[in-house]
Amino acid sequence: MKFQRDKASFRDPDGFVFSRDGVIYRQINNSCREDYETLMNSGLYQKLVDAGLLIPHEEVEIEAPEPESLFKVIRPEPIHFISYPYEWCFSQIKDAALATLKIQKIAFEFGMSLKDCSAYNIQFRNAAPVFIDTLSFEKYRKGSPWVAYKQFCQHFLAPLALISYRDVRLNELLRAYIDGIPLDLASLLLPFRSKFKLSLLLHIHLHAKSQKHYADKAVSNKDTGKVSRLSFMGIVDGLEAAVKSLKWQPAGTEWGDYYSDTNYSSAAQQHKKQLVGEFLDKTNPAVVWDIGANTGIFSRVASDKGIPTVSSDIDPAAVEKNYLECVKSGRSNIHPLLLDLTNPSPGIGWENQERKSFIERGPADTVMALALIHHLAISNNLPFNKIAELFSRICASLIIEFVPKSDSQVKRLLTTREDIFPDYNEDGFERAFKEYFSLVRSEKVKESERTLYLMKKK
Amino acid sequence: MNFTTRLDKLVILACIYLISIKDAHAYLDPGTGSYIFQILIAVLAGALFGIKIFWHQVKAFLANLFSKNKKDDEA
Repeated sequence: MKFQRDKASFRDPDGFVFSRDGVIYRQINNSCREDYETLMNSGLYQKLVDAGLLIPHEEVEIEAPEPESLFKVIRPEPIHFISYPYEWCFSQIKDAALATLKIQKIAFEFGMSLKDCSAYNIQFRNAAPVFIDTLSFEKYRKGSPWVAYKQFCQHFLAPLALISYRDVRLNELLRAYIDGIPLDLASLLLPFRSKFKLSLLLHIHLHAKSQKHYADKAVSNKDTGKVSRLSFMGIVDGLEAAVKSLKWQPAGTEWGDYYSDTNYSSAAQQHKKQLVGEFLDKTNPAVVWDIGANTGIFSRVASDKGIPTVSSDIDPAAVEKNYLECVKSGRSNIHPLLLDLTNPSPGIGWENQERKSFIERGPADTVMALALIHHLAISNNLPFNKIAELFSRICASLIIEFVPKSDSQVKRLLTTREDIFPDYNEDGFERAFKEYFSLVRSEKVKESERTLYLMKKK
Repeated sequence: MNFTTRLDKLVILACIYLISIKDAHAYLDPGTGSYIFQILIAVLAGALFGIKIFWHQVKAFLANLFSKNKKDDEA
């Protein structure tokens, strides 16, 4: 097939995303002509692109999939890894929310407004949120309320409030509800004290009540009023203040010493970094996925070589720390990601294809799985061959660390359970992985019990 | 919808909310409720925003005044 229409791009009648020969394009339909021209000619597009808030694009002359409705085809700048809000830490969701509101505020100065406020319209590029849906801008109609208000509350305010007031794991509700967390559910889950915060009382609790109150009522035009420009700006400004005021920090920890507890001596750590660097030089990957990256110490070895690196971990606190450090240091080629490899993001939405599964977004050139194998094999009872098979599906080369039973971390895992893993040893590990990979190099990490392997997929 | 009607509805909604909290899950069209809700809170949001802008202007004026006085003193 010449064109491949993006499976997530079917809701907007004004255009859609498609790919051709691996390049992503967006068809803009005639119905969107006026809004697109206003975006481009008013100076809004340039202002947002210059601010790094909107993905830049080029208009191209190529054959379009639906020429009868075609106005233009654009080619947006590619994003190296697409991620979804249920894979973001608290500060990533917060920064995405603030970027969306900033875009709305700037658009308003140019007489435009966002008609779509989905969190899926934001992606992370250079460790910062960027809006990717060029067709979400429409001319502001005087007196109209903000059509994306409900979506903003469901996609951003509700998860941030739930994390901030209840528990960081509630961001997983975004995976269950593709159009954001229903506000009645958010209202139910938030503690009573959240009602004393005016912004949450209004935008979540009373908003949810209003949704329920008007759910089965016919509303005629004369019942509805208008929202003045000042009120419109007030609502957006109120949402911005609400988002800014929400904070999250892991209970009982101080950022300074979080994750300083490792069982590596500094010489071992240094040697491991050196080996990872050498292995990366040998494979020379264009993209690295560091799985079980913790706060991203070894992702930074790849990042320092200029390799875009997805740095994933199961622990929201580790991902948060990783992200905040990337922002602080301006390290732009690391994408921190919240991911449980034993239950990775599935394909969700219509036909299970609107949002891709984690595995579908691969393979990566190189996967790094450092200090991870014992968590998979011992904590999750995964046989080596199943682990090797999965890695063979998501990468071309693998840098993997074997952590033996004599290692203090493995001993700790086995103290409270029966050792039912007679094959958990270096021989068993190598035998299973040789089914799928060729062993290129293996090195003992100095001052530790561990071995680092470089493997190439067969 | 005039101001008093909006305010009445917002107060009624707040009252309904306080006395009936956990009774329904199903909604048919949350879009309408969100749309109307913005109209209900518009005056409050506009007023708060107006006060914020005014306050920022007062602060900027005072800051300007003091920095001017300081410069005059230095001169």
